[in-house]
Amino acid sequence: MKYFVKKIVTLIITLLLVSILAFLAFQIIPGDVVHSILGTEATPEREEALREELGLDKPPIERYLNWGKNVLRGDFGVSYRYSKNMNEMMPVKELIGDKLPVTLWLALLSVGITVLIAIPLGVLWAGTKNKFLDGVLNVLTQTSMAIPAFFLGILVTYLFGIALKMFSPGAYVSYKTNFGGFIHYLIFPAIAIAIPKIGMTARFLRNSTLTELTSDYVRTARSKGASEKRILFKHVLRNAMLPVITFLGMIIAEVVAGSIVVEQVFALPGIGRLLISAISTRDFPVVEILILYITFVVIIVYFVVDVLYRVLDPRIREK
Amino acid sequence: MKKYLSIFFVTLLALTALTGCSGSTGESSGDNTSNVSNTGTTQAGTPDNVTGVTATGDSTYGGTVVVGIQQDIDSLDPHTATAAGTKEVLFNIFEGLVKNAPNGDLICAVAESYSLSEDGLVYTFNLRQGVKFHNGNLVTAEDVKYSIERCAGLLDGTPLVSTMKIITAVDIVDEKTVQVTVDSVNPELIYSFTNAIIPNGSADVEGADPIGTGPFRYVSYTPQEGIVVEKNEDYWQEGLPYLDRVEFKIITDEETATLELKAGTIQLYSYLTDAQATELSKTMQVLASPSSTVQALFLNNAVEPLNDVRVRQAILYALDKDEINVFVGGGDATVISSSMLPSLENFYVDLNDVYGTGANVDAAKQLLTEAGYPDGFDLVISVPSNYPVHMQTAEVIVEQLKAVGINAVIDAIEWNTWLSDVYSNREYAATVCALTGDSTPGYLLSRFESTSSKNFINFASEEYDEVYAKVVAATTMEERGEYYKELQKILVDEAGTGFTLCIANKVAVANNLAGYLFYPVYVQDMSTVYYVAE
Repeated sequence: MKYFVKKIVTLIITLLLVSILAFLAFQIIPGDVVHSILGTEATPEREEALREELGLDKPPIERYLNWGKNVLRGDFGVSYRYSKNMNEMMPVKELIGDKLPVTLWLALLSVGITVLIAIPLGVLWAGTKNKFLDGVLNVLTQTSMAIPAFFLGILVTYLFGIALKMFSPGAYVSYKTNFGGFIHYLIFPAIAIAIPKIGMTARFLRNSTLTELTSDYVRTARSKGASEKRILFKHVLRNAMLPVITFLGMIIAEVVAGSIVVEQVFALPGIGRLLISAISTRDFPVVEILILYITFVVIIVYFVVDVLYRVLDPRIREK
Repeated sequence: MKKYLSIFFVTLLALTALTGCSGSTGESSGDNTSNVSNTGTTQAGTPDNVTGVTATGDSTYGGTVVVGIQQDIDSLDPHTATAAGTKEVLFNIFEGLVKNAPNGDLICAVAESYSLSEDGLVYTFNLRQGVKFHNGNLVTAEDVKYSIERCAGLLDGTPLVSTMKIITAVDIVDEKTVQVTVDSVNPELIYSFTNAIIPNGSADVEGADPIGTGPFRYVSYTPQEGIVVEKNEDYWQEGLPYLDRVEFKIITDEETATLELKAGTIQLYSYLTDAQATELSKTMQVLASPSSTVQALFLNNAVEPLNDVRVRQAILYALDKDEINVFVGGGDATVISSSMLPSLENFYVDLNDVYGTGANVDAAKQLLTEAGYPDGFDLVISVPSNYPVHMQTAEVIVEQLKAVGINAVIDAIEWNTWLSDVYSNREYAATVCALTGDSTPGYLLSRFESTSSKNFINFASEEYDEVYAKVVAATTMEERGEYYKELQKILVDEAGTGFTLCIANKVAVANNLAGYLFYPVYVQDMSTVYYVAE
């Protein structure tokens, strides 16, 4: 119980600090939303009118407190940048709510692909005595980790989209109009995200498995005559998976926060792309909530990892 | 470019005083539709080295076209939208009393004809009968009054269109006639009546969808994805539009745009880079036309050492615009020296001879020596990094300036930082960027009047201001035209800024589409585009 209270307090303090830092950052970076909206058509009168309309004429502290009060009441405000119709701006909640499913499904697919491929691959790799296979896997995983994400995105587009014609690049289908088509399109960006993660996870699992294999309990098991297979699957894997879970947690936190580069390359309207454009247009209400969302996700994922650890490893629970 | 008809219409109007539109509208509305579009591509003023021609064949009705656009929509309200990228889309949904035509003329839209009183202070608009809004309602005199009052700031005191500030009253004479009274003569005001007519009070109705009278009606907008419009079955120009549906899809990434064009998920995309145009022209139609922008190496006239006219002249001598054209414009751009679209033939003066289009290193060095900088100086060029064209131009310029001893470096900045630091606060030395012109000839010159809030180069010339005052006082376009030429000469003599190119706008169009029209203003007219019958 004490553990949970401590975690929740940490969560709240972190969110508060992050929101203040984001607000401060917005005060410091050059450029301002009024200039962004009015562009080169700005006249002093219109600038002033807009500043007043957005409440930007008030001192920063007052603005932050107002914003904070509203957020606590569940009112996330409206975007400075995106219109909903003729005379209303898009509510932040609606805007993010609309983009979130894209990122979440992409995350689910890419983590799914990663786990399905990386775990068997890592085990196979650790268990193999074949020097050649070991070498091939070594090179492949190294390469997959070294390719920059945007290039990988383009590579996947060319291979599956243009050469194999398995999907039409850029023909993103909204989940609202055709869910099947949506998932079909998402598989390819998910592959682009998963490739380096598979490399990393497989390497990680192999190394931790090999480390475990040199432990005392393995020697004991061997001396009792247990088969290598039994040792690997019954004893070693469970221990070797522990650090891998932390690692997977990191990956999940990363993709749920939005894969900025991949979303850009595949023209996916997700959280990552929204964040980039909101920052570049100084759309403060959107940026703040997105940053809080990302912070929240990261903390929660680590928390879940922590709990999982306790479930899987009784030694930690007892401490 | 010769084929570009300039704005005879307004000159004519100014000379003969006083009625408008009857001719041009009759033609565009009455004409056989296929005629409108077939003449389209040839009329578009494509330069000689055009890389493609739209397919010919019979026009068909129906179909959907997906158009890639580079920027997100900044507002769905036609009166407050400021981004050129938004206006080019809204052009399909909204219309004013008059609207721009491909040849630079104005044609009547919601108005059927108009006349101007002899003193130039009262505009009388006769409304076209039977024009319907997308909600099915007929356009009334009240709607027109409301729309103009809103733009002019007569409703709440904030003018949304600054040129319309001079409007003092909008009166309904009868249900098909509206009179607009201004307090000073401005022969260019007629261009401002291209601003949208919207239903009375619609800007204050909560949750109202954008409603206009244009060839397409608004269906939906999704941030970051795009905007969808459908055919306006009641459009007043008979036979238009051809397409049932147009989707404007936001694609910010150059690579993605190329891929999508190749894969056929978008059928039309404009403002191609030279590299894209070269690659795409192998498999699809790539059309070209002079764009409505003027690119320049803008110099802040208020900072050392650029406040010395000799230094600015030296920089202008050092520029090799032909080289920039080759490297950046693919050789298709028009080399310019003044702040006027070359397509506005009646007003443009070719001043390329003043400093030459190639580099004149000796002249530049001599001027620098006279100014006390025999060894050159350091110069920071702040460039918005989201525009590859300007970045590339800046890179070429840096090398050219090096030849005369000026040690220039590029500071790549984000667009928003540019808007704040360079454009609004004027805290910079030099920048490469382009200004978008509109069909109002004086638009690109007005900003260099020393007190203009848009004078971001801090150009201060008494002579210029004097002539500009004459422009404002001039009551005919002819008179204004002469002053505009003078203004351009002063701007060049004072070396206010180093204009470089009017870059060609290259558009990729799917092979089975035809009818795309170029405009001398920044719009993307989809009403004349059609699928060619197989």
